[in-house]
Amino acid sequence: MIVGGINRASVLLALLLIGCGNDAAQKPADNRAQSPATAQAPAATNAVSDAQAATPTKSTGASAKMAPTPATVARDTELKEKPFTDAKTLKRLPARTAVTIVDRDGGWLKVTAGGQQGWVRLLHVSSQPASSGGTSTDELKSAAKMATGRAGSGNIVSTTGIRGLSEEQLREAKPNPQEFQRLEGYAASKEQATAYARAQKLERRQVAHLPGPP
Amino acid sequence: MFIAALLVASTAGAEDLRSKILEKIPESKRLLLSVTEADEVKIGQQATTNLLGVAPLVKDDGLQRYVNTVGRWVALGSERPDLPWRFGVIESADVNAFAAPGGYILITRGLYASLSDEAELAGVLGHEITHVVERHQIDVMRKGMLLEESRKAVEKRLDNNKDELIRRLVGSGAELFARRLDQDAEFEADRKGVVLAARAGYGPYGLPAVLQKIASVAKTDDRVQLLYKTHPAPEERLRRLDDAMAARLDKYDRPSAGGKIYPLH
Repeated sequence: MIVGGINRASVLLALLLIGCGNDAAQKPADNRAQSPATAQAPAATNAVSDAQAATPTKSTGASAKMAPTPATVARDTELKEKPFTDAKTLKRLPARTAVTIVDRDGGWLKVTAGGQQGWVRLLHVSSQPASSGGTSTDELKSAAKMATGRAGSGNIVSTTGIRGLSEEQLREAKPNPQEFQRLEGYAASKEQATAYARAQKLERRQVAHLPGPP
Repeated sequence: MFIAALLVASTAGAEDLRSKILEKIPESKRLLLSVTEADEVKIGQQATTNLLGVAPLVKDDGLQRYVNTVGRWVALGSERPDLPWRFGVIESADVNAFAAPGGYILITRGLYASLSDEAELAGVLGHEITHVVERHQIDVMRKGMLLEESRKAVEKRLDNNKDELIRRLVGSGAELFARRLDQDAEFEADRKGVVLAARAGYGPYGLPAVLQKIASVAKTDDRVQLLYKTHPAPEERLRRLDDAMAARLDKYDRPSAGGKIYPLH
């Protein structure tokens, strides 16, 4: 349940929070345009004060957005008041600190750590493997739902008993030219892809590749 | 014999020796051993046709068009925008995505169902697109084939046509997708995949979020067996991504960018 179930309101909240801390000029109008009313100043003020007031006693509010998920801090990091680098550091979290994830905002996770709530870099958190033994009936049921894709909750539920793809299956695969023709038929042209991006306000950005390890 | 020496030379990093040997190989044979873009597409078509024999496309035209649209948009920001890019969601509970040379990319229903938003889809597709762009599979295939077969093949001259080379590179059925790539190729695909997502206007943290979800699944789960066999552990991939990304891409973070992810039925 790492990133599932974040509702629209929390996403908007997240956007507004980011808008406060980052270079706003870097963030031209995006999906906020779809909900103009929420993006107005009074809403922003409320959203920020809500977030600032967020404490463990308000965790029921957070869990409504996302089921709390146990995790571990993967490396020494900082618990921040808000989801950006320049935000106030609430406390230092050494590697292997147990935290509970309650929300996500892009590259940041909202967590509770030792009774204190704040934000940690997503890449500094390691999700604990779900228990591999004693799969409950409920888990199997929801896994079966996942397998048929009906859940759509954005999670992978651990289970045993649902088969994946095996090397043997792949090696012995027989061609299915009809399916291949179907695949060809779904191709999107450059123009179609570009039109979609325009409609969704997705901007092409110049981003250089990251340096590899030395 | 040239080829055996060629391999030794390349693995030893002796580029000078390698190019000297290459010069001695007649042009016709060099062509035979080279893999052109048209060859890549043929290899991808065959391997994909075989994979679809195991796991057909999910029967939802809207879904398939949706992943093609998003995928094409992400691929347009890559260094090879003009390949015949094709994307599909296949009917399998396995949690995985596959790239075949030439621009054929398939994602399983199991993985698609775990995605929360379009940025996560863009990140996953960015990783697979990078494998194609960087010809990662071709590298592995050629190494394997050259090691096992090429000396024999070139000496006997029984392969004086490209079809035979392609047949050998594809191998049996869809086994191409069970082959482990160079592990550095996986880290590179993560590193470049997040950048492709950012170039397409999405936040760069979609792929890391998906990797975290995969890391939270029990390693004994049957649906991640193939993924673990062919990829480094997700924890290690996340650690390497953290090293590479640090805060470098934070200015591109836009958590809700993009359309609504197409729901599975």
